[in-house]
Amino acid sequence: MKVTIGFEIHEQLATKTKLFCNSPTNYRDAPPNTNVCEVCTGMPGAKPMPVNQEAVDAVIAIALMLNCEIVKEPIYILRKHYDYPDLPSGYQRTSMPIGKNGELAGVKIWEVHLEEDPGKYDPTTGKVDYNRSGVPLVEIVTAPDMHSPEEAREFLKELVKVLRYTGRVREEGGTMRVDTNVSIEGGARVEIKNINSIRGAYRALKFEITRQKNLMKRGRVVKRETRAYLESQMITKGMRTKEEAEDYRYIPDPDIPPLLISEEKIEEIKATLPEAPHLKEKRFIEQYGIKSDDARIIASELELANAFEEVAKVIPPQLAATWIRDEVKRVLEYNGITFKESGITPAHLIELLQLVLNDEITLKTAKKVMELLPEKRTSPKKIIEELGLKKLREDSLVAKACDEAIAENPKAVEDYLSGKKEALNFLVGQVMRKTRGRADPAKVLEMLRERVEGK
Amino acid sequence: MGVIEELQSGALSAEENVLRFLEAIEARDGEINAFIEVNPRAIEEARAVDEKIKQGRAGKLAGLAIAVKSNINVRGLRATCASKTLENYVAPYDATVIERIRREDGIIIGMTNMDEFACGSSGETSYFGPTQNPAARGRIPGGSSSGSAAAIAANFADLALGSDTGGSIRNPASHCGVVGIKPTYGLVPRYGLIDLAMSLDQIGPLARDVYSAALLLEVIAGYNPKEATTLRVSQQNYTSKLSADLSGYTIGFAKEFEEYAAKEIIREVKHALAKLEAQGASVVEVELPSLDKALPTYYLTVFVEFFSATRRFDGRRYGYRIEEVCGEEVLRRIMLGRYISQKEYSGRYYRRALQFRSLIKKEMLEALSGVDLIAGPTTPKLPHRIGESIDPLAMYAYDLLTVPANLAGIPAGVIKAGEVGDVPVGIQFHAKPLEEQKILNAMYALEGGRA
Amino acid sequence: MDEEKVRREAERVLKELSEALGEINLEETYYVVEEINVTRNDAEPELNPEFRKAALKIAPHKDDEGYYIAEVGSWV
Repeated sequence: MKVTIGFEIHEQLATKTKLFCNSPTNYRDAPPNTNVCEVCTGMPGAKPMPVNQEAVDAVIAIALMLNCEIVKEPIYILRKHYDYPDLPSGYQRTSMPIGKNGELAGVKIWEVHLEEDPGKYDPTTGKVDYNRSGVPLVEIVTAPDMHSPEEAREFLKELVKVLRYTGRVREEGGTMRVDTNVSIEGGARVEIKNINSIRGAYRALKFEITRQKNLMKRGRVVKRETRAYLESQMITKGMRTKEEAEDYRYIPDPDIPPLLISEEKIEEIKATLPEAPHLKEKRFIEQYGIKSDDARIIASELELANAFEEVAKVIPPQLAATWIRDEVKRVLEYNGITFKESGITPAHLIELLQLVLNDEITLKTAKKVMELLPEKRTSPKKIIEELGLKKLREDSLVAKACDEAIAENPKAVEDYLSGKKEALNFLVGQVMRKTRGRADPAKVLEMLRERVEGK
Repeated sequence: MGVIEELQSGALSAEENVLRFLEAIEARDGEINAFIEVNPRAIEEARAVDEKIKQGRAGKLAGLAIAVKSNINVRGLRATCASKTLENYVAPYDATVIERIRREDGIIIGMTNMDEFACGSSGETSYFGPTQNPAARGRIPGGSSSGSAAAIAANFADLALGSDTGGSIRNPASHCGVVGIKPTYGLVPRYGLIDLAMSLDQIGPLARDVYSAALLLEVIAGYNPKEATTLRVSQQNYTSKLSADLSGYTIGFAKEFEEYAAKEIIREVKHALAKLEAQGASVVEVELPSLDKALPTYYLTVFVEFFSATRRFDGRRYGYRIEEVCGEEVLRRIMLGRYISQKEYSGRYYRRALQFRSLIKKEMLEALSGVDLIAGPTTPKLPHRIGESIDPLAMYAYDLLTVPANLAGIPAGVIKAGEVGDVPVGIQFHAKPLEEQKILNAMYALEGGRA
Repeated sequence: MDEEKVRREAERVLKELSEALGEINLEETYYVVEEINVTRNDAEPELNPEFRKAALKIAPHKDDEGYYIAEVGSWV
C-alpha cells in the first residue's frame, strides 16, 4: 500500500518589526497584548503600513535556497477571510507565490509565500494574545513526494537545516508549524494540522498511517477530512468542519499595491546566499579529503562549517574534522546549543589543537578544555592556566607517581608479572589520577613497564 | 474668511470661537442632529491654542473649530460610524489627518452623524437617528457625510471632515449648499478612516467657503509613510494659489448629464457655467458614453470591499458583532459582498465590475484630456423628504453622477450653483489627478461671482 | 429587522446591477494608484505605551493579565 505525504510548513522570519506595522516581534518576552498597535489588533480604521522589505527579501532568499524560480509577474498580497479569535481583521494576509517549482532533497517545492502570523488563542480558556499577530512567516508548500514517516522526517530535517543556513528565520526555534497531508493508495487525502515539530510530524504520520491502514483492513472507507494532531496524546483527531468546503473569498488587499521582483533584486539576494549544505558537504570531501560522515555533520550548521574551514587552514583537515565531529558536537549536544550560540571561535579551536599537536597538553586535557569553552568564553590557554592543567613535563613527578602506584598496588604488579598484561593499564590509570590527567599516558606506560619488569 | 482673520488678529479668541459653536450646538442641534458627540475637552484645547497664538507660534488652523465624521479615529472620542456596532468604541489612536489638524492647532469640536458605516446617501440610516437638512428643513441633508455637511450649513463649526467613497462628501454638500471636496485617491491619508471600500475611500473637507476648504485640504494632504496607497506628493499650498481668474480654462460639460439629472438641476448648473464663462472660461462639450455603467460598477465593488472590511467587527476586541446589531442597508451590503466574493461567483460579479472600472477610468481621463475641468450636476434629483420610503436601488441612484470620480481616482469638488425652490443645488467639478487647484479656482470664481 | 426582506431586496439589487453592467473584456483595475513595491525598512520597533491601556479599556471581555477573552473553542 503506497503512502503519499506532502507538507505545508510555516516558519517565522527574523525581522525586528512585524510585517505590516512597526510593533516589535520579540513576543515571547512580552506580557500578553503589549507588543501591539492598532494595525496588528485590527482596530477600526487601521491600515497596513507598507510591507516590511526585510521579510520580502527573506522569502526571496529562502525560495532561492530551495531552488525555486522567482515569480516575475506582479505578486498580490491577498486577504484570506475566515473567522477565528486569533485573527484580528477577520482575514489573514498572504502573498501569492513568490517562489515556484523548487526542489530540496528530492522533494518538489510547489510554492513559497509570505504571510502574517495570527495571534495566539487558547481554545480551552478563550484567552487571546495578539503579540504574535503580524509576525512575518514564510510558507513552504511541497508536492506529495514523500512515502514514509521516515522520509518525511528526513526532509523536514534537511529543510530546517537550509532555513537556518539562510539566517533569515527566527533562531529561538520552536516556531515551526507544519500541516501535512497523507493518503494511502485507494483512500482519500487526510490533512493534519497543529503539528509544531519534526518529531510531532513523525509521530502524527506514524499514527495516521496506522489508523488509515486499520480502517482499510476492516473494509472501511478513509474519508477526506482535516484532523488535528494532539501532542499530549500523540494521536490525530477529526476536526469538526462545516459541511461545505471552506471558501476564503480571496481578494487582493486593496490597501497594499503588488510586489514586482526585479532581476536585479534576485541577483542582489543571490549574492548574499550561503552555499547549500549538501553542496558544502560534497566540496568538503573533495577539497579537504575528509570522511563523508564528518563532512555531513560539519555542514549541518553554517557557522560550524565556516569554523571548520578556518581551522583547516592551520590544522590538518582530517584532525580538525574529527575533533569537530567528536568533541565539538559532543559539547554542543550536551549543552543543547548551536555552535553560534556556544561562543566558540575558530581561533579557540586552532589554539587548542595546536597545544595538542605540540604535545603541550594531553588529549584528555584538551577534551576537558573543550567542555569549558562555552561556559568560560575565553581562550584555551587562559583556561589551562586558570585550572593548572599544563602537561607535566617533569619526569621526576611522573616517576614519583609511578613508584607510588607500584608500591600501593602489589597485586597488580604480581598479575602483570604472571602474564596478565592488562594489569598494567590499571596502573596507568592510577598514575593518571595522581597527576590529574596531566601526564602523557604513553609515556607513563613505558615508565611503568621499565620499573615493573626491571624489578 | 472673516473668522480666520479675526482669530489671527486676536479680535476673536479660540476659546470664544469654540464656545459660540458649543452654544449653537447646545441650542439647535436637538433639531438638526448633526453631532453624535461633542468633544468635552474642546474648551480646554482652545485655551491651549490661545496661549500659542499669544506666543506667536500657532499653526495654520489655530482656533478653528472642526467637526469630524464619526468614521475617523480621534483619540478619546467615539468613532461609532453611527452604528450600534461601535456605539462604545472610544478611539485608542488618532487618524493621520487628525494628527495633521492638531499639529496646525485646529480644534476638534465633535463627532458628526452619518449614514451607518457610510452606507447610504441620505443620512437616514444612522443608529443615532436621521439628520435634518439645515438649508431645506424637512428634507434629507444627503449622505453619507450628513452630519458634517449639516454642521457646516447650520453654523456649528468652521470646517468639517467627511469621507467620500462614491459621493459621500459631494452629495450632502450639494443638498446643504456648502463646499465639499473629494481629493485625488491617495492624496489624503486614509490611516484611521474606518473603511467603506478601501480602493475608493478618501477623506476631504467641507466648508462654507472655498478659501477655508482649501486651507483644510492643504493641511491634511500629502504623502503618508504609514500607508501603502499614498501618493508621493509633498506639502500642498492651495490657498496661496487661489485665483478667480479663469482665463485660459476650458470646462467640459457632458451631454449625458442631461439624460440622468432633473431638468431644473441642469438649469442651475448651466446658469453657473455661464457665470464662469464671464470669468474667462470657455465651455465645451465632452462625452462620457459609459456613464450608465458607473453605478453598477461602483456598487458591486463596494459590496465586496465592504464585506471584507467588516470582518474585523466580530465583537471580540471592541463593540458588537456587526451582523447582530446593524441596520438593514449595512446587512444587505454584507450579504451581497459575502455572496459575490465566493470563489464561484467572483468572476461573474466582482472581477467583472473591476473590468468595467478600467473602462470608466479610461473614459474619465480621456474626457479630461482635452479640458481643464468637467463640470456637471452632483445628484440626479433633489433631496427627498425625511422618512419618505425609498427603495434601495432608488437610493443608490443618487450616486450616479458622483461615483465616476471615485472609480477613476480623480478629484472632484462641489459648490452651490443655485436653488430649486428653497433647495440648494450644487455644481460638481472634476479634474485630472492632483489638479485640485483648478477645481478650487473654479469654485472660487463662482463664489466671487455670487458674492 | 426583517432579514427575509433584506435578503429579497439584496437578490433584486444584484440582479438589476449585474444586468445593467453587461459584458466586457478588459483588465481589472484593482488599484487606482499604480504603484508597485511600496515597502518599508525593517527599522527599530516602535510602541505607544498608552495604546494597550486604551485598547483593553474598550474590550468587552478581558482578564487581569491583559488577555482578551474570546469564546471557548470548538475546533476539535
